Amino acid sequence: MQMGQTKLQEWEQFGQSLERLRKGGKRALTKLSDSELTRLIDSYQALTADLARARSLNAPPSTVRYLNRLAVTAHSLIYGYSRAKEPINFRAGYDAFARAVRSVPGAVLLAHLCFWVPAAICFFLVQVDATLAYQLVPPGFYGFEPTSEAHMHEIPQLTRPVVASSIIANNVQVTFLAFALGLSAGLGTALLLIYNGVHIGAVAGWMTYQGKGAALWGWILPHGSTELIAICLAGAAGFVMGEAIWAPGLSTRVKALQRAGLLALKIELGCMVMLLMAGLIEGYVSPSSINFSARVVILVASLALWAAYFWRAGRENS
Amino acid sequence: VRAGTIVHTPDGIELEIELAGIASRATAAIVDLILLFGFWLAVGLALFSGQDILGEGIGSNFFLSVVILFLFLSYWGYGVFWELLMRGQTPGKRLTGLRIIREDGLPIGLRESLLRNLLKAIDMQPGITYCIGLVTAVRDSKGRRLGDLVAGTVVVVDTLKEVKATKAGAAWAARAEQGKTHQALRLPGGTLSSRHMVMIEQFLERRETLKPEVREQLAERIVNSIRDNLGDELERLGRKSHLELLEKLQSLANETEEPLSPTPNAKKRGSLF
Repeated sequence: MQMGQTKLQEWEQFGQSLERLRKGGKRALTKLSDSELTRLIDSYQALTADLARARSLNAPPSTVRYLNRLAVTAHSLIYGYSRAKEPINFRAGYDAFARAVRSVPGAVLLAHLCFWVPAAICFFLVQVDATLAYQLVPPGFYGFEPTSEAHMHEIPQLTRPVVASSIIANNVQVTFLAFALGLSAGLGTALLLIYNGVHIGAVAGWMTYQGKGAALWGWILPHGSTELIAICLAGAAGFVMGEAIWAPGLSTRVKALQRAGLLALKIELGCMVMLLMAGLIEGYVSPSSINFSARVVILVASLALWAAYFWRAGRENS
Repeated sequence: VRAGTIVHTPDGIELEIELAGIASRATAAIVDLILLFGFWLAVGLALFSGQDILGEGIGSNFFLSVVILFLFLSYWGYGVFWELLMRGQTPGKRLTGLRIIREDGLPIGLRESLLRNLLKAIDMQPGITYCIGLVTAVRDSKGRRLGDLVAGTVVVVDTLKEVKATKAGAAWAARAEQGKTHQALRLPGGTLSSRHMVMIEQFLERRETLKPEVREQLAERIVNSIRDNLGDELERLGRKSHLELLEKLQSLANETEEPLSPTPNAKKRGSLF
């Protein structure tokens, strides 16, 4: 056989085995025997040696390109193995969410301020001047009559699952936006939080002004703490990324953003779980016929639970 | 020529990774959207044709609520699901021969996939911000949209279809095995650098594929470009057509080139210990 042809055949065979492995999907490498695996790595090393030689010893560009492409494919196959086996660790996630939130007190505080200050202002403004409600409150609330003393909506038991899942989907989407808008240097996140604060504060003010406050608070109390904390934390996740843009510190903006993105992602995923819980309460418990004091108990219990979680979870010796 | 990015692997190899173009990425995105809509349509049809599951009762409502959550998840989770299952590819990307990898060349994991897909909320919102991802991808040197930027990922060309080992590659390998690697050609009258020799070889490799008049023109241009380096050697080689001259130079190079091989009896350095 002519010299050079053997090299060519080696490369082509290696390429074919790569194609086979790639078609085999994520677990293809785990199915190889020890000797096959050793052979794969040996041929990868031989190939990278050929690639280095081809670059430094003036091989035709098409050959360099071919060897390079083979090496890229092989590299991601061989080195992707350990990551492909990384399991999802829920226990670590449980700790990571609380730790991530504790590590960014400034962003959490800012998010809560962006939400609660406009909410409080609008609540009182509407008490002082009720005509403001016509600018701040959605028309649906103008003549709104609560269905019961204890809460606003009487949702038929049958449709509660549907209501719960629509609420969850809607809220989670809002937190996605609050999180992603962090990339507008946090400005979009701030606007989103303020907008929601104004909306909720104005509605609450309007209902209170009309003397229907008890029904409103009865409705909000069971799920409200979980839901609003989650939305504010998603805002904090956005601010974490925003901070990386404003003040990247000693690294480049992109590097700072990548680090912040990982932290923000942990917070955002935790918020999704919180909203899942809040949505279930909002769909099943809030519209049920339990009385006002039971609702207060649920509020206090959930607040205590979250306080304990964010304070304790993920600490050493906990 | 596509833009590329260099990755240094832990084993000391430089890999040049070809970045995906905007057009192929858009094609992949459109294919994925069509697939997702098709999936939703199928779910919708299945629900309407099975009216009886939607009858009265807590069971049907529970079922419907699951469907709502599932549709929501299918929109946001489409990318994450496929990218984890197919190591950084969605069906659309597989079709167009693209793959998402980390900037260090490794496959993406759950966190990269989640980040770049959740940030679609800003990159690809319908309406004004739809173009944010597009604009950043065009502006960035590595073609990253905001989601890629934060997740530390790039979209690359990953297909073995369009590259092939060629005859020239085999010829190079044969010479490399003999230790001959196109060093400079030194003749009494002048010197041709290794780059000149590579240029001549590549031209001769392609000569059969060129039209005669183009071949003649190219040969003339190459000879003109090396005329100064050859000096009076040109006279010594005798009157030949441009093509013959180049062939002669190549065969001279093959004859005269010394094999590159480590000297077997190189003096060993004394150990310090």
